[in-house]
Formats: sequence, C-alpha cells, structure tokens
Amino acid sequence: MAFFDAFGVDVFKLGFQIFNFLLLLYLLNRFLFKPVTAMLDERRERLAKGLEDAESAARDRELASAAREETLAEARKEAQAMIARATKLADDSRDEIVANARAEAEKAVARARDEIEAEKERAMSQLRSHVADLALAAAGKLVKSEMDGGTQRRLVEEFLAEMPAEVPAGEAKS
Amino acid sequence: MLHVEIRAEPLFQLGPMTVTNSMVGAVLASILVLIAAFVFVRRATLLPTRMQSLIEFPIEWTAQIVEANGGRHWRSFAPLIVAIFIFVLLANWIGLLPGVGTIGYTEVVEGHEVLVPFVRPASADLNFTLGLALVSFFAFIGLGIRKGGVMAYLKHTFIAEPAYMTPLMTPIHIISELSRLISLSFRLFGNVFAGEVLLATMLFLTTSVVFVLPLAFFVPGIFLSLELVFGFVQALVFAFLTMAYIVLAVPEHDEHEESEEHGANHASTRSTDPALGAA
Repeated sequence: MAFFDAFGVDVFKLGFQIFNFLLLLYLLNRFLFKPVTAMLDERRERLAKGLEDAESAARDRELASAAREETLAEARKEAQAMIARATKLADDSRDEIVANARAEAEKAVARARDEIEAEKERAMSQLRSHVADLALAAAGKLVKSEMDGGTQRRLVEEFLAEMPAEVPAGEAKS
Repeated sequence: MLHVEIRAEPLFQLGPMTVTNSMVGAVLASILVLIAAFVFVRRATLLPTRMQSLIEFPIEWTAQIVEANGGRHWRSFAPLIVAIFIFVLLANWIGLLPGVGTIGYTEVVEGHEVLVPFVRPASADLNFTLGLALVSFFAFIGLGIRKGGVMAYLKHTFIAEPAYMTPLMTPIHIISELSRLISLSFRLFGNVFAGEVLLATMLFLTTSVVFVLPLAFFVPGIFLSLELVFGFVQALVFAFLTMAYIVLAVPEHDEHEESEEHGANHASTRSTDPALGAA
C-alpha cells in the first residue's frame, strides 16, 4: 500500500471521486441526456423529413419540366405538321391555278386560231370575189378601150396598186 | 523555489474525511458540467443558437462516435461515455484557468515555504483517475454480464477459443483486463499532472530571472495552448477506450445464434486489446 500512499490514494478520497462521478452521471442522465437524445432524434427526424420533402419536390419539379418539355415538343411537331399541310395545300392550289391558267390560255389560243382561220376563210372568199371582179373589170376595160402602150401600162399599174391592199394580208395570215 | 506535489494537498478536515484541493477541482468540474447542462436544457430549441451548438457539439459528436462503433447496444452505454468525456475534459481544462494552482495559502514544509493551491485539476490526482478507471472497469464487466449472462461472460473471459489454449491464454487475458485499470488511470493522471508541472516550470523559469521576464508573457501561453490540446485528447482517449472495452465485453450476438461468428469475435478480442496499442 506504500505505492498508493506515494500517490496520496486512500479509500475515502477514491470513494469521494467515484461518488462524485456517479452522482454527476446520474444527474446528467436524468436531466441532460434524455431530453437531449429526444431532441436530437426529433431534429434528425425532421431533417430527414425535410430532405425527403425537398427530394420529392425536386422530383415533382423534374416531372413537371419533363411534361412541359413533352408538351412543347408535341406543339412544335403539330405546328410543323400544320405548316407542311398548308405548304402542300398551297403547292397543290398553285399547280391547279397554273394548270387552269394554262388550259385557259390554250383555249384562248385555240379560239384565236379558229377566229383567224375563219377570218382567213372570209378574206380568201372576199379576195376570190374581188379577183373575179377585178378580172372582169380588167377584161372589160381591155375590151372597151384602145390598147395602147401607155394605157396598158397604166392599167397594169392600177391593177397592181389595187392588189396589195388585199393579197398580202391574205398571204400573211395563212 | 518551485514546489511539485504528486499528491493532492489536504485543505481541511470534514468529519472523518480530509478534503483535498483536487476534490475541490472535481466538484468544480461537476458544477460547471451541470450548469452547462441546465442552461442547455432550459433554452434548448430545435433550431440551435450558437451557445446551444457549443454545448450540444461534444454531446452529439461523442454520441455519434459511440453509435458508429458501439454495436447493437450502444444506447445503453452512450451516456456513460459522453459523461466521461465531458467530465474529464472539464477536469483537465480547469487546470488551465488562471488562479488554479497559483492561488492558495502558504505552508511551511521541511523548512521551506510552499504554496498549497485551493484548486487542483482533479485529473492531476490519482484518486480521480483511478476512480474513473474503476467505474469504467466495472461498467464493461457489468454490461458484459448483463447483456450476455454470467455464464456466457465467464466463458467468454476465462476460456480461450481452442479450449486447449486456456492454460496459456487465460492468465494473459486476466492480466490484460487488470492492466486496463492501470493504463487508464495512470495515462490520464500522468498526462495532466505532467502538464501542470510543465506549466508551473515554464512560469517559474520565465518569472524567476528578470532578464527573461518578457518571455513570461508568451512562453507559458504556448504551453497553455498545448495543454488545451492534450486535455482534449486525454479526455477523448479515456472515453473511447472505455467504449472499446465495453464493446469488446458485450457480445454482439445473442448466445443462440451463430456460435461460429461469436467464436471469431471472441478470438479477436484477445488479439486486439486496445490497452496495449494505446498505452
């Protein structure tokens, strides 16, 4: 026991220290650890719940954004389709209009050609009658008047001067 | 002259008991812990204030470590570990307060005038550290018996895993169990007492010679901050060694399930005694 004596250890002092600590442990256990443990547990629970809530909110937000994205994509696709349809419609109607116009034009050309043909026929028939008349007149003149050189020449010139007004027009139109 | 007393000095007599200055230190540390506890409990809110966090931190931190390492029954001994940590921490740090170890009455011993301080840090007295070590010792034995039963505890402690090794291993095991008592108490006592001596020496050296007096303003400060760290580390070591001993003594599994794994656990108990590593 000399060893313990050297360090000043005796039963009373040792007992006092043990008693002091056990008392402290009892008081702490009673007044500090129980409420603190309860509080720490509650805090941890709340924190966990808060984190969970935040996570689920983030998940919801993500879902919403995905839905929005999807709606947008759909709308875009629809718009694209609409534009395509409109373009096709416009193309179709343009083709139709062009075709109509072409047909109209062709019809007009054909009508014009017919008219020209008819006009030509009429002119030809007129010309024919004129030529006959002229020939008759010329023959009449030839027969009626003296045939001298000057008169003959004048007659021919008269005939020729009368001719171009009718013939070239008829020639050009055929 | 510098006077170093390895024993706690008696202050006065109270009935049959001599009140020493280390008892005053122990009571002071207890009162500080209790005041902090009451302040904390009265003002505790879920959203902690700065003061509350300060008090909460050591509790929560140690409790978390106990939870992480304490195994299945951690809740049953977490209060003990936390209380040891906080109490030892304050008992150590009280020695760093101004006036502790320097304010006292003078006494004449063997012709010298010596100062008997009114307050001595409790952990610089072997009574305190040995008392705590005894509490820790009986705690791990008691918890081991309570959780596993007397027979299981005796078998666990005194019969080695291959049974024919018992004559060799059991004496070693008994010595290692007892050495925990010595290593726990003397480690803490030695560290804190040596710290006190170191501080006193530094103060004495720097104030005794006029030439180096300016050093007195910062040289003890260096050692004070070191002692702050040592006090923390020693409190931590004491608390967590107690935890480790309890964890080793408390069977992790019930006796009925998986005797093979229990055997493995049992064997590792012998080979990795933290008392040997940490001493």
